[in-house]
Amino acid sequence: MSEVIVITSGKGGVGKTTATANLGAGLAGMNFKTVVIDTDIGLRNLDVVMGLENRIVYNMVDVVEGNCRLKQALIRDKRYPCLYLLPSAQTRDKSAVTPEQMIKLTGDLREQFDYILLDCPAGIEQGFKNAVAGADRAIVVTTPEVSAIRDADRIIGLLEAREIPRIDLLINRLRMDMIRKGDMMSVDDVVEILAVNLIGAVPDDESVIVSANHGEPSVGSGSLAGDAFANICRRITGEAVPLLDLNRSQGLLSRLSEIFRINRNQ
Amino acid sequence: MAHVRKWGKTSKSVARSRLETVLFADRMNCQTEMVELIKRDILAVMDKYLDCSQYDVTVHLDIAARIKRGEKHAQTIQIKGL
Repeated sequence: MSEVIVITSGKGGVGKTTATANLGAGLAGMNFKTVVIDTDIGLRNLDVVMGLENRIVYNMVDVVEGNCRLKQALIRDKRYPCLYLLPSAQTRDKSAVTPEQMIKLTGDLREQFDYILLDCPAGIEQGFKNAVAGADRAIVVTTPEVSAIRDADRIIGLLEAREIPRIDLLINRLRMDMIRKGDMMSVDDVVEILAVNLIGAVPDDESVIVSANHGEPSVGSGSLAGDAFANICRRITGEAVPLLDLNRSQGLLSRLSEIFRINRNQ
Repeated sequence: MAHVRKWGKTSKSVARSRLETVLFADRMNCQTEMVELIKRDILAVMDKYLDCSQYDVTVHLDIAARIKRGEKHAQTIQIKGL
């Protein structure tokens, strides 16, 4: 049974595109036929995060308007043979596509793919409505900050009003050092406030930016964030995976302190 | 680096209580000031009938359907003397 998952947040810049790219790579790495769709018409970025920006010939709007066949627009990933990208159009806007057309598009994709991930744009207007139209479930991405959590709550309310059967929370950019000092809300804090099932927690990790610079996924790179995304993929497929210990330190000082056995006060 | 703590509260606990107020006000479509007034009035009513002076009472407001906790899971706190 195919699953159509919309990755949304309300707030911009919390990591939806990064999450979509990594969850797509992770699921494809588990040998599921996966397609990731950039629904941010006019501001496409999933292609550049995946390093496929030079391969775009047709895009999602072309497919919906009948300018090309679906197969012609799908771009196979460089690293994962099971992963495909349906890019967005850069020179159109959100009015180019209707929710009905999105339902037909995701319906067509169900025939070929196990997982269909939709990278939703920020906001609650046409872009959001298009992205959620055909979705079976939603992953709401947030960071542990007041503005992001407020917007996530609004989005959760809108998803519930549309009766999306399953809503899961992904907390991104956790900084364990700040959480320990009481300067940042923890995973438990955010889950209590939003009262939604947690599908995973991803630490703030510089390597994510470095990987994006290269157009590569963090999944499989050995980074803590990459491992967190990989675990989320396993949970998406229904596996029960315990949360990573994000206090697993990776900095130079902690590696040195391990060598010299210096006690770090926590 | 020293972190200034006002009244012994961490910045994250300030964030949490502000968020609680803001999310409730968003959901109930009212002003955040109103949420504070509701809490203040609830405390005043409790004060009218109960002697809570020896307790540090905090009022939390949330919507049962949202947090999926309702009568089934409500906590009952015994107040001595009643």
